Amino acid sequence: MLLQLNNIFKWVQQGGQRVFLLKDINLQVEEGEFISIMGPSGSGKSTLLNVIGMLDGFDEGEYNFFDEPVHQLKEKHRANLYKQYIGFVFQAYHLIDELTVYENLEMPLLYKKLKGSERKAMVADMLDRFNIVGKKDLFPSQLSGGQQQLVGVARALISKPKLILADEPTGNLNSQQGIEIMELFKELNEEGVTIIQVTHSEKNAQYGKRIINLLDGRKI
Amino acid sequence: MFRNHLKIALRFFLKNKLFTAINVFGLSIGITAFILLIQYISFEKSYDDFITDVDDLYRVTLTTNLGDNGFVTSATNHPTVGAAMVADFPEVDSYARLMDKPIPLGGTVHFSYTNPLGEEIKTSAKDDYIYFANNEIINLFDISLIQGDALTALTEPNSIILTKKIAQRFFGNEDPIGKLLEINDNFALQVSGVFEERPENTHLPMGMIISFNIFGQEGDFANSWVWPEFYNYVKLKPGMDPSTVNAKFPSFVKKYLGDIMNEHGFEARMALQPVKDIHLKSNLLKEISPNGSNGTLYFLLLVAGFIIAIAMINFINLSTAKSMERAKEVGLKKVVGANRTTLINQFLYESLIINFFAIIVSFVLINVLISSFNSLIGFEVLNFGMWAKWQVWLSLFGIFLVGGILAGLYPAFVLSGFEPIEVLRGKFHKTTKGNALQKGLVIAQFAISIALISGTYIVYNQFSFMQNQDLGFNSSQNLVLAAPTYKDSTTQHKIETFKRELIQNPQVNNAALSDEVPGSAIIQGNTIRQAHEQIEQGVNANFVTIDQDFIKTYAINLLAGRDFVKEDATTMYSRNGPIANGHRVLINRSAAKSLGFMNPEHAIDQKMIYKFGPIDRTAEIIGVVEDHHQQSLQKAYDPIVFMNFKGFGASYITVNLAGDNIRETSNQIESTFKEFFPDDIYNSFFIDDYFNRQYQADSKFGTICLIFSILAIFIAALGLFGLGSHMAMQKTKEISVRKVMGATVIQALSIIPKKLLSLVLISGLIALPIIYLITINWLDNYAFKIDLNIWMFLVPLLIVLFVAAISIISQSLKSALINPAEALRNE
Repeated sequence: MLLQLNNIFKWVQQGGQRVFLLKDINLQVEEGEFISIMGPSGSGKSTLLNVIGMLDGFDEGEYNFFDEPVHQLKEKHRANLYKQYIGFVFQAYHLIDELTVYENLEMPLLYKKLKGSERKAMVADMLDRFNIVGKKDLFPSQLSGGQQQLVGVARALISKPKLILADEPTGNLNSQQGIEIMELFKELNEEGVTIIQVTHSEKNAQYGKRIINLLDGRKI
Repeated sequence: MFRNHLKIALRFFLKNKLFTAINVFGLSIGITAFILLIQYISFEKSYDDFITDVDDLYRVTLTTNLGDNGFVTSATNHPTVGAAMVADFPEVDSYARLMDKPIPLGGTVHFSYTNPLGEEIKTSAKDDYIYFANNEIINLFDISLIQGDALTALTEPNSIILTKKIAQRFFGNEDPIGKLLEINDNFALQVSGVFEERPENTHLPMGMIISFNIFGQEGDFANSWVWPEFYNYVKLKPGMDPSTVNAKFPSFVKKYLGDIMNEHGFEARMALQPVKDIHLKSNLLKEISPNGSNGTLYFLLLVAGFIIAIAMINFINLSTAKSMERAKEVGLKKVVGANRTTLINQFLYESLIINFFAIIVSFVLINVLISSFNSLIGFEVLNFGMWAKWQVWLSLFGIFLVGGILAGLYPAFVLSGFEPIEVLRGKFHKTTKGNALQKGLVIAQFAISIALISGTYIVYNQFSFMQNQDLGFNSSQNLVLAAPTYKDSTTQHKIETFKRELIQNPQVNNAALSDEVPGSAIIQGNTIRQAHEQIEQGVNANFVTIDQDFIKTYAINLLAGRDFVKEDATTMYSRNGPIANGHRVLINRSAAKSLGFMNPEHAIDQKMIYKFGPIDRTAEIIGVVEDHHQQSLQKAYDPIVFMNFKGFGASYITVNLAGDNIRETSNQIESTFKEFFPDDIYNSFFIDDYFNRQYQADSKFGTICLIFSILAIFIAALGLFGLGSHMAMQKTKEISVRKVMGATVIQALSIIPKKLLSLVLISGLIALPIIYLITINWLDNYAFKIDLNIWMFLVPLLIVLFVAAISIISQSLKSALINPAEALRNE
C-alpha cells in the first residue's frame, strides 16, 4: 500500500467557530493507481491534495505513507519523505521565470545533491522523452501554456517519484493542450507511476481509474 | 477631486505604516543633511563677503625660485610693494600693509594695563590676532570703529585699536580711549580706537592692530626690498580690471627687484590675488590663517547630493514596488472613467504629501541639531536666525517641489499605466519593464554607498597614519614653556640659571632652549651652499637656533659627526658688527642632501655658507641629524640648519619629564618659573598636543565625512529594508516552488544573495575606479601617505553586501518560513 488516510480532520477557527476544511476523510491508495478528486469549488479538493503532498498539516487523524506515520514525523523527516517519493504539478505551472527550461528541470536535482554529470544525464533524458530538447534554452515566458505545463510535468517526474500530485493540471490550458497532458498522465500511469489529480472536468476525471467526490470537506 | 486623492493617500499611508515611515524618515534625514551641508558650504563661500569693496580688494603675492623647489608663491611680500604700486599704477586706489606679530615680538607676547587703583591686569595675548598695520587697513577691510577716528586711529606711532571684547578685558567699564597698554613690560601703546568684533567668516581675523608707524625710521620699511614677510593688500579703483595691473608687474618687479635678482640669481613674479578667493582657493606659503579648500566643499556638496538622491531613490523604488498592491484600485478607477492624467495627478499628490511630511520632520531635526552641528564645524554656521532668510525657505520649498515631483513621476506613470482588464481579471502579472530602472536605481544606491564607505575608510586611514607615524623626535613627556620676555641683559642669564635649576629636579631628564619647537612652520630661513660654491647655487633652508641640549631632549637621531657641546656656541654679533666666520652648525639629512653631499658622513667637517641677514656667514658642519617632522605629515621634511649662538633669544624652554607624576612635576616647574620670572605669564603645553593641533582641520573633515557617510548608508539600508520586503514578496512564489522541489529554508533563501551579489558587484565596478582616482588625487596633497591596498576597496563592497543581505534576508525569511501550500494556493 502506498498511503493510507484514517479519519483525517482539518479545520480553521473563524469567529469562534470551527469551519471544517476536511471532515473524516478515509482513503487508501495502492501503488499504480490513477485517482481523480472531484467536487465543486471550495469542497476541499486542493486541501486534500496538499495534505497528501505533506505541504499542509491536519488537525486530527492518521496518515501513513509507505508505513511511515506522517502525523508523527518531524518536519525535516517529512520533507525528506516527499522529496524522495512525490512530484507536484500545478495549475499555474509555477516554473521559475528567471530560469531556462533546462535549469527549471535541473532545479529539483540540485536539492538532491546529485553530481553534475548525473544531473545532466537525467535532464537530457527528460528533454528527450518530452520532445523539448529544442526548447531547453528558452525561458518559460517564451513557451505556450501547454509547453509550460509539459515542462512542469517533466520537472515533477525528473526525480523519479512514486506518486504524482496534480492540482488542476489542465486548468490553464486549452482543450487540445489539456488532452495531450492527460494522455501523458495515462502513459505515465501505465509505466507504474501513481497519480492523484484534482480536476473540475468530468472528461479529465475519466482518465483516472477511480474518482473521489468531495463536498464540503466530506467524501461522498 | 483633491479631497478624494487626499483621503485615499492618507488611508494608504495609514495602512502601509512601514512603507510610509521609511519614506518619511529617509527623506527627512536626507533633507536635513542636505540643508545642513548646504548651509555649511554657503558659510565657507561667504568668507570676506561682508567687506563692502571686497570685489576691488586684492592681495599682492610674491613668487620666487630661490632654492631647489622651483617657483614657490608666498602670501607675503616686501613691505614697500603697496606704496610703490599706488605711485606707479593709476589703477590702484590705496594699500594696506600688515605684519604678523611674531616677527617683531617673538613667540611670547603679553599685555598689561595698570588701572587707576594701581591693580595690574595682565594677559597673555597668544590667541588675540595681533597685527601691525597702516591706517588704510580700517578703510580697506571695513573695520567699524565704535570709538576713535577712522581717518587717524593708526597714524600715531604708538597707537593701538582693539575689539570691544578685548577692550573690556583690560578696561572693564572704563573708557578705553587714551589708556596705556604695555607690551611685554617693554613699551607702551595708547588706545586710539575700539572696533566691533569681526565676523567669523574672514581669512583675516583681527583682535588688536598696532600702528605700523611704531617702527619709525629704524626699520626703514619704506625702502626695503629685501624682506618679504609682509601682507600687502591693494584696493583698485572701481571698475578696474586686475589683469591690466597683472600685465604691468613684470616691469614693476624689474624696476624694484632687478638688482637684487641679478645679485642672487633668482627670478621673482608678482600677482594680484582676489581677497574673495583667499579662503577657498589659496594655499600659499605663509597664509595668515588656515584656509578651507574648494575641493573639500565640492566633496561635501557631492555627499549632500548623494544623500538626498539616495532618499529619493528609496521613495521611487518603494512606491513602484508597492504599485502591485495598488493595481486593483487603478483598474477600478479606470473602469469607472478616470483618465490617465487624473491618476498621475493622484500619485504625484501622494509623493508631494510624503515630501511635505518629510520637510516638517526635517524642520524639527534641523532646529534640534543646530548647536551640535555648530560645535562639529567649530564655527557658528547655523543659528535660529536662518529661518528669517527667505533663501532657506525657498530651498526647502524647492526640495519639496522638485523632490516630490521627481520622485513621484516614475511611480505615477507605472501605476497609471496598468490595464484595467488584466488587473480585474485577477491574473495580473507584473510587467518587467520597470525592473531595469529599479535595478539601475539600486545599483546607483549601492555604488554611492560603496564609494562613500571606501572614501571615508581611506581618509580615516590616512589621518590615523599621520597621527601614529614616528615623528623623528621624542614627542611624549616633553613639556614646552614659553620663554619669559627679554627685559634686559640679565634675562638671558636668568633663563640659564632657571634651566639648571630645572635639571636639579629628579623628575626632569633634560631641558633645552630653542627659538622653534616642532609643530609649526619655521619662520627663519635663507639660502645655504657649500663654501666653494657661488651665490646662485644657494638652496633654501630653514634655520633653528638651539642650545647644546636640544637634540638630546628631543631624542633626534645623530647620523654622523657629533652633537653640540657648550663650547660650540659662538657669538653672533660683536661690537664691530656681525661675525662672519667660525660658526658651527648641525644640519639634517634633507639639508645635507640639498647641499649636495652624497651621504651624511661626507658633510662632516665641511664648510658651508648661509645667508643670515644681509651677509654671508661661514660655518663648519659638525654633525648631521636625521630628518624630523617639523610640521604635519602633509608637509615634506624641511631642510634645517641648527645653529648655536651665545645668548640667543630663546622663545621656548623644552623640559623632558621623567616618571609618571607629570602633573606634580609640571606644577613644580610652574612655581619655579614664577619664582624666577614673577612678572611673566606662565604658558606651557605638551609638545604632542601642540603637534597634533595641526590635524584639527583634518579630523574635523574626517568626522564630517564619517557622519554623513554613515547617514547615507543608513538611508540606503532603510530603503533596502523596504525594498527587501517587496523583493521577498515577489520571490515568495519562487521560494515556495523551490521548497516543494526539495530545497531547505537556507537553500531557498540563498537565491536572494546570489542576485544581490551581482548587483553589488556591478555597483563596485562602477564606484571603485572612480573612488580610486579621487583618493589618489586627494592623497597627493600629503607628502607622507598610506599605500592603497585592495582591502580598502573590497571591505566597503563586503560591508554593503552584508548590510543589503541582512536587510533583505530578514524580510525573505518570512516568506521562506510560510507554508508553501499557502503561497501557491491562489494564482
